Amino acid sequence: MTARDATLSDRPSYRWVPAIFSMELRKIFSYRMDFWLQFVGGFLAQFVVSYFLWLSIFEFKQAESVGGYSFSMLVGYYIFSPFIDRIVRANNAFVVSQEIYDGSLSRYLLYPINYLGLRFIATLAHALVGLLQMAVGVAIIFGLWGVPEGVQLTLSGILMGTVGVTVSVLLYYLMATSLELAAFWADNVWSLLVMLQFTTAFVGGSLVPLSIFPEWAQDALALTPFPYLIGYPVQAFLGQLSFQQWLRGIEFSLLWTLPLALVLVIVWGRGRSSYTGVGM
Amino acid sequence: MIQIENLYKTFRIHRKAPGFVGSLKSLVYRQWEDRHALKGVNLTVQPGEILGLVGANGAGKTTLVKILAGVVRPSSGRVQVNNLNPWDRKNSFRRQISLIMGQKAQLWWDLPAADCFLLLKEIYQIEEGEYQKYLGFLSETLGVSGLLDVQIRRLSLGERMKMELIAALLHKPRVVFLDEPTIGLDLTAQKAIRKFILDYQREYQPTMILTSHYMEDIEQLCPRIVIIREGQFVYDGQLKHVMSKFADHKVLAVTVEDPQLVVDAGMEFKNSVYLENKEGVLRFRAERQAVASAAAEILGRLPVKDISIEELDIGHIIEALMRRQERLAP
Repeated sequence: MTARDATLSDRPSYRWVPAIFSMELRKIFSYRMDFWLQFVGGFLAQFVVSYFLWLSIFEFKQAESVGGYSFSMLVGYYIFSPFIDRIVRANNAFVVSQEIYDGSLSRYLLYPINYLGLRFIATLAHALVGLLQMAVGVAIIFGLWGVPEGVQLTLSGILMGTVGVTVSVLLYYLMATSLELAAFWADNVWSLLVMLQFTTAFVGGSLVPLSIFPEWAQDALALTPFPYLIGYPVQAFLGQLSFQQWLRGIEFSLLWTLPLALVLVIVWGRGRSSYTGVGM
Repeated sequence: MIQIENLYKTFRIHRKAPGFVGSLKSLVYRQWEDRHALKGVNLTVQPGEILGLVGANGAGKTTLVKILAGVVRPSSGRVQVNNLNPWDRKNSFRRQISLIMGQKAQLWWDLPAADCFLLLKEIYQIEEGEYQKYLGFLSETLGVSGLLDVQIRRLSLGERMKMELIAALLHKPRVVFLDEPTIGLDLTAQKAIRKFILDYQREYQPTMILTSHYMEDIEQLCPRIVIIREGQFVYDGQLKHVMSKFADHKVLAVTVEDPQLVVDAGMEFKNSVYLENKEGVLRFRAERQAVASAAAEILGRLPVKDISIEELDIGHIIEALMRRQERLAP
């Protein structure tokens, strides 16, 4: 096939995948202040609040553990959860809906690439940066304070956690993007996304470990994709999951991706038909 | 080749009464209205042709261009661009078209132009050698070679538009849609962009559709124009025919020793009508076919220092044409 034939063929090309990934990384690095603020500020805000909140709870209750967590294990939990929370949710806030509202989606529709694929690749780039930030952050904290008691940082735990968080990125991307596509019809999708973010924070294991909830609630939540978003990867990193438990979580997460992906594709197809390309 | 048959596009618009009560009401009951952006238009554009699409704001120009580019779905009708239906959005279609929107940045603001072009190279699968050669040619021609490593957001509007042009042409599209490519630019930048488009079209012969509010763009670039009004074509034909068909007179601009004296004398001319004294230059209107005799009469009766014959402004003619209801033959 000649170069000209290639440019005119219908066959999809994936040469853009590493290019988009690299472009997204360059975009992230081009905003130095934002990069460091997210790294330090994002972590500190959530960690400090959680630390003092749980300190008061433990002092007030005079308990050894809450929901199976000792105070030092909770410290370990809240070292990981702000980072994982950021990795899973960071790049899914209003990007797609904004592109629909301001008409900048049009340029992507002109290119011979898959827009939803492009957005996911961009999300993966953000996730990679988040993972690296977490590795550096955790290394610094554990280096200075030592590993909290009860936390078992092992290579298998790190691997399971990394795979887990990657699957979580996919799950959250599917959920958030489906909601963002409501921008094809609705004047504002802000509230929908905030609801998703709040739900994820609350029942996904970002605000509190899910073992704090009563058992019936944990059983019910286990049927939804939410516990696998943040709580599971955090537990994997902390060495609290056996391989079997981790595998079950991954299988369940991947099972959820099928209907979610189907919804996304259907909503995208419908939405594209009503797209006007008009910017604000 | 572009072929459009009986093309309609209707948008559904939400109407809301003003004020707080209107907002409350819209929570439970919404009033919708159909807005017909295109009403059964037909068009054929030959390969290598450059067509000017002229019309007021909201006339349907951009909607038509977006339908042709496969961005917006038509309500009904048949559209073919190089024998492909744009709405199918096949890769083979998207690889041979390009859309430049003067009012909307299409490059990534956070990145230098060179990075944006590298990404487009991968998206369009352009070979390295061909890419380097063509990028060099485009950036040299547009005079922006030294700006390729500057973040897009830090470029001036004119420089940004030049980068947009490079981005749109890197993959050598066979069909180029230019939606207001010179909007907001200063005169020098407008001129440079126009010259580039003209040279590019002559060299590579892509089919081009250009929309613009600047008549100079249309006059210099488009031998053929379509005037669109409220979703319908009111004129489709050669630009020069617009002048001869609808501008039935010309203006004679005459400089004399003492213009006020001539005005005060209230002189009347057989072949022309006095219009005004504009900054010491007297202007007369003459029928197109009587211009020579009108000029001779003025030269014979007035102490003329200088005389020139002016065409009417094509913008005014087209504006007048846009107000007409009936379809006009070319």
